[in-house]
Amino acid sequence: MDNRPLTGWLKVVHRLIILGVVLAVLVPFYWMGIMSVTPQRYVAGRTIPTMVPREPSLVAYSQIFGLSEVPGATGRSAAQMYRRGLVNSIVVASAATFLALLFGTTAAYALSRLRFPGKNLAYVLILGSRLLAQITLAVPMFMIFHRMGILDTYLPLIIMNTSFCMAWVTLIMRNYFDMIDSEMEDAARIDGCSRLGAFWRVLLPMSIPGVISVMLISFLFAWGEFLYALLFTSTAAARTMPVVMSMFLGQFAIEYRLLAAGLVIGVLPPVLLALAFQRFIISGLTQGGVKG
Amino acid sequence: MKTTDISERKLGSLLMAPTFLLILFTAVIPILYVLFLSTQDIRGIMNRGFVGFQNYQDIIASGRLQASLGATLYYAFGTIFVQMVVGMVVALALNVEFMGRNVVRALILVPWAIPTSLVAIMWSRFLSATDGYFNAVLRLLGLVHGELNWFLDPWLAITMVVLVDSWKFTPITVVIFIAGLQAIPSSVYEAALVDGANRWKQFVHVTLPMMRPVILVALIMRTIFVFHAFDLIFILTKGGPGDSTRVLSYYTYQESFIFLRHGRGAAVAFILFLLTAVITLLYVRFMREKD
Repeated sequence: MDNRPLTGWLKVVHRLIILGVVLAVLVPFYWMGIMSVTPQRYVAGRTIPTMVPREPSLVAYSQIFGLSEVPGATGRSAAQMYRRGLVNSIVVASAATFLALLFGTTAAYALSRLRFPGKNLAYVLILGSRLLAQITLAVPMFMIFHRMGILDTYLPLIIMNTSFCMAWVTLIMRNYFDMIDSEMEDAARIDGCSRLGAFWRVLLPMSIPGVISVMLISFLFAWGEFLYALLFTSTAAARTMPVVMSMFLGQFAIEYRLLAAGLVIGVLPPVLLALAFQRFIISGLTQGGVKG
Repeated sequence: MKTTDISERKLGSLLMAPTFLLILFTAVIPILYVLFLSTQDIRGIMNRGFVGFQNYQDIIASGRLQASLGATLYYAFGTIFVQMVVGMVVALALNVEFMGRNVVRALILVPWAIPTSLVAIMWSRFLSATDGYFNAVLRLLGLVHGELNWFLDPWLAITMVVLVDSWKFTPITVVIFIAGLQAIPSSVYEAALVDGANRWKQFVHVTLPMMRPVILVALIMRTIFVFHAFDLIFILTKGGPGDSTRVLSYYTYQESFIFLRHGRGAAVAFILFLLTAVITLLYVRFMREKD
């Protein structure tokens, strides 16, 4: 890039753009935060809901975690469903991330280092499957899961999330492995290591940054997955947090601060992960995007 | 040598097997099943059997497919235009040295990290006609008087969905563009500087041409994922008002899971699949050429 510092009006425009970006990201968070600590009467039905703290309290957070009583039956069952949804989301996202990493990295190793029949077909199918719109698979998968009798359990959600994340993991990790010279593995094999041993002890440790980035991207995807969670669950048993949240908006007339607290809690884990591991995520995203 | 060859082939197939089978079970077979279902007359739990292309004719004759394609096209052009232009402007701004640059670069990722469904829920609250913060700010600025419902007018509704989509997804184009900008060697700019090119000329004659492959990839990726858009529509507009935001993915959902016309739903799904397939093929060909 042109390294001369910006001057004059160009500098002003630049600072305005930066300010705009910062506001666009932070203001919604401020709104969410303020809504989660403000009593209903300062927000609901107000043409100008309060944007400064008024009688702020963290009661909505303790209500949603069941630490204090929620007034009203709907509020109580909403908080209960939210807690269950959070547990379900953690179970589904963790299981799918683990399986996607297990299947994806081994498949990526095979694609990157080994010659075997059907390699090209496998690659094309994996790439293609990642790009399919989820809804195209919804009807047939619904019927298949229905016949298997596993609707409204964790299984269909884990299967579908694993499938989508695994494709990402495979493609990104294949690129990653391709960039690492196979010399070290060859040396390890001369020393008597098996192929899998060389993969596990030599290649994988060298690929930790890549593994972390695909792990995060998988977890973030599964944490936020909505469509399958909506269609393949019908009770609180397996309903994940995003679906519970969407019900708060429609079926449940609950206090805004409870809704906002639910949002803040649901949004925090991915946001903190993204901030803490930004380098890994950026490299994962640009690899997936720039290098395909 | 021959023995290792055999073990390599076996090991490769073995390691690929779980992934391959899962893709077969969750993508290949379902797509074939969709094609089959799209030729059946299924309503609710009743299947009246093979009807050929009847479902396709029905969705075209009702005019809903065309309307849905129109909404999808508007959605695609809107989101891609906003995300490409804003993405490029922000990427350029973040490529210049300034105090706190790393903080802003990290902040950029935040909207992307939030699940789309939660983005939609949060904005549906903010955009509420009566007590939303967004209108409140506009009222304070004197831009809005009384109630302004963003989701009443067809054009306004889909434009708002496009903007919320852009809030969430522009970070991806920004990140990809920054990576592209950093890959341009500074010697190219030095040469342009020697030729007396100002910043605008540098952008047009150096940056844009050098960024062409990166821009194209971002464009294709965003185009493909436009067809995935469901969460925002489901939460913000439910396809309305009228059929203004009924994009293909939402139309599929509506036919299959609301009207329970699984045959017709499958026909829409298959058309959606064909569209993604065409774009994907373009993408794969482009990647091959680049390699």
